[in-house]
Amino acid sequence: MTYTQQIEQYVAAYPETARAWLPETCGVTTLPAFPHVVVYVWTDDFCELEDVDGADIARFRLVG
Amino acid sequence: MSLTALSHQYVGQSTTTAVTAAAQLDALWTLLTATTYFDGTTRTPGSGNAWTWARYQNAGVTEAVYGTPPTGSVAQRVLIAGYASAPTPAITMLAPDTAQTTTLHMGVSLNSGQFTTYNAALPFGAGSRWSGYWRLSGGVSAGVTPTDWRYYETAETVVLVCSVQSTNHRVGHAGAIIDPETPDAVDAETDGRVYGMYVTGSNSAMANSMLSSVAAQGNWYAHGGLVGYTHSGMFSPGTSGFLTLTRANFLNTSIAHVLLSSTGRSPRWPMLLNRGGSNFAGRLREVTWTPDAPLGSGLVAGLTTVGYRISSSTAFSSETVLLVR
Repeated sequence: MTYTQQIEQYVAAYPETARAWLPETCGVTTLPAFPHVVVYVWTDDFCELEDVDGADIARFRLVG
Repeated sequence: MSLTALSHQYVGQSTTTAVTAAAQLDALWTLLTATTYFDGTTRTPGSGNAWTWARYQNAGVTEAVYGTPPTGSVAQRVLIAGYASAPTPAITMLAPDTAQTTTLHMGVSLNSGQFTTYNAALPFGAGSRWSGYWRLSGGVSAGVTPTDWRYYETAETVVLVCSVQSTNHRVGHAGAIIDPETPDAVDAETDGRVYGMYVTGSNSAMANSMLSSVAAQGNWYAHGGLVGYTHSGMFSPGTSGFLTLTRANFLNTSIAHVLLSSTGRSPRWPMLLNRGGSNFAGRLREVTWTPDAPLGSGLVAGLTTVGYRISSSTAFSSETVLLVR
């Protein structure tokens, strides 16, 4: 699975996601299947999903 | 040249009828801190094959255990966590699994420092390499107890088997699991090993056809891209990246079993793995194909146990891997 597919799978599992913080190393800057999710890129090597209030929903690392 | 051979030892089995993650972890804890092996020999944490385990409790409730091997130069740790209510921040999972309160979760850390907390982005501190968690078990919920845990260890790897109601067996295997048979830096860590883990997953138990099938649920060293499926992976050597592992299937599926020799001996076929779907990863260390047998049975030669079998059932023979003693 591509990085985008892995990330979108998590967003689908957590529909309250409003923001996604993604590692710059993964190269993903948009989530086409979830245009309402605002993507931020950071230097950490894991992904983090937040709800509209900025609360953490999920953290995960990508495979591949 | 191949790495030093590992030798599996069986610690024992522990049962709980409680339905919480904490009870599962406490059942595991009794095994992880045992002072004798199943065969009665002394188990001294930090020597021989005996890992040293520590426990993290929150107000007296166990939420994590982590193990340090008795040997190694890359500061390996295996961390197992579970809880009744999700902590903040959320635990850092490994794709594609999501966290849940009805399972335990397992991950591997390299270049580890001091343990911080199981839900930190890096549970073993800055500079460490953390895999993230995959789901280790299923069935931590009402109506599906008792749960049995079995624990096997070598000096560099651990094997955990979770059995619900004496069926539905799920396996976790973690540590320096692969001998890449090469010292090349892209293929091996600085100590010549490859570190990673396997989980049967929360969705399905070990399948009768766990070796003849490479489907993504219930099979040995398969990998599925959906949450709760079977997962197999390894650290990309020298980095914190994680690659999938898949088992090269050399069995003719119309045979689907390793056969006994004409004198009744059990062959031990090396098990080879590929990484990332495109490259050879190496040989699974002292885990081999072997003729069909029930889970938990020992393979003996005369009076000597030469291995422990892992399969889908304690009640009947099915496709089996051998943890070589």
